[in-house]
Amino acid sequence: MSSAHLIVVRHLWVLRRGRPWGLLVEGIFEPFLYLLSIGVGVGQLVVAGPELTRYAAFVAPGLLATSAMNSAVNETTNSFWWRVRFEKLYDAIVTTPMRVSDIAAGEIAASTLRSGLSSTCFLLVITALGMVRSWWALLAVPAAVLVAFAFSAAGLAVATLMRDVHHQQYLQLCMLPMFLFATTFFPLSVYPAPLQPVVAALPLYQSIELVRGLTTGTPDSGTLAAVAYLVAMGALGWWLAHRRLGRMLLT
Amino acid sequence: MWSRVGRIYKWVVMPLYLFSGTFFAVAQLPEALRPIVYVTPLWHGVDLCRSLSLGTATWGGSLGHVAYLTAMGTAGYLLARRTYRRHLHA
Repeated sequence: MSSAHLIVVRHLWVLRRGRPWGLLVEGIFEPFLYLLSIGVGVGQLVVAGPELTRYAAFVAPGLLATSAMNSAVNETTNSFWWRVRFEKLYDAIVTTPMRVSDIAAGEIAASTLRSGLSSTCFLLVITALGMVRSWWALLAVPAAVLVAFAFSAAGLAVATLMRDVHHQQYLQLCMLPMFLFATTFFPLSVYPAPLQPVVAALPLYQSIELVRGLTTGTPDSGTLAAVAYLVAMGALGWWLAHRRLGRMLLT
Repeated sequence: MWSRVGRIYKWVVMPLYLFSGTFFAVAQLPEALRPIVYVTPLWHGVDLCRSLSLGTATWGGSLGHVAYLTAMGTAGYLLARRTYRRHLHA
């Protein structure tokens, strides 16, 4: 019997005296600021009048996917990484009946839960601001959870590869440009044709494609392709994280 | 300690970066918010650099920005000297 859920219970137990609202505000704050600054502020410079809400509604799902990504990557490459490298929590856990596969599954579940929760709150914020265009947006909740899952699994795999604190900087070196260029603020069509497949191959692009298709009410074959991409990415990350964790903890 | 650095970045640096006239004009903000932006240091830096590079700088405005930034640097230096001295010579 799998005891992966015990990892989730353990994290909830550690945070039991924390403030859940603080956690959610942390998750919403940053995308909200970007939404106001770029979505509304820059939006006023590029389009006028009623078109403005269309631009903000274009940027909002991009920020939603980004917030799911950032929170999942932070949770795994910061919090989990700290526990596995310095606190040696899992070295203690593997001496119990829990297996490495339980640890990997439980950590991915805990990170997905947290990231999915804060992105859902951001979805509520943009819905309240009138930046959601369709009932398809209800599916943006499972979509955000899928994005959170894919990046949690990939983040867990990356965390097992990081040895030093400064490796975080290399990670940021990938994450920040991806945030700026993965069509968060402008469509794929602005890129020259040879560059478009490169951008489309980015995991954040696929995540944004999925969420944007749903909140603007225009899901198409690209949306399904994005689902397949994210499922594959999550599965690959999970497998790699499991393998690496086994090597780290059992040898 | 680490989380405190992160918190300063998130709650202070990020908002400054996004709302100090970096990406859009301060004039686009609601009237009530503008005075707040005018006292933030990044706005002085942004306006100084922008007016100089666009050739719209005025002596009065630029000297005001320079004075603000110099005062801020000096205040930071004096404060840091005080706390460093306290920590290292206590």
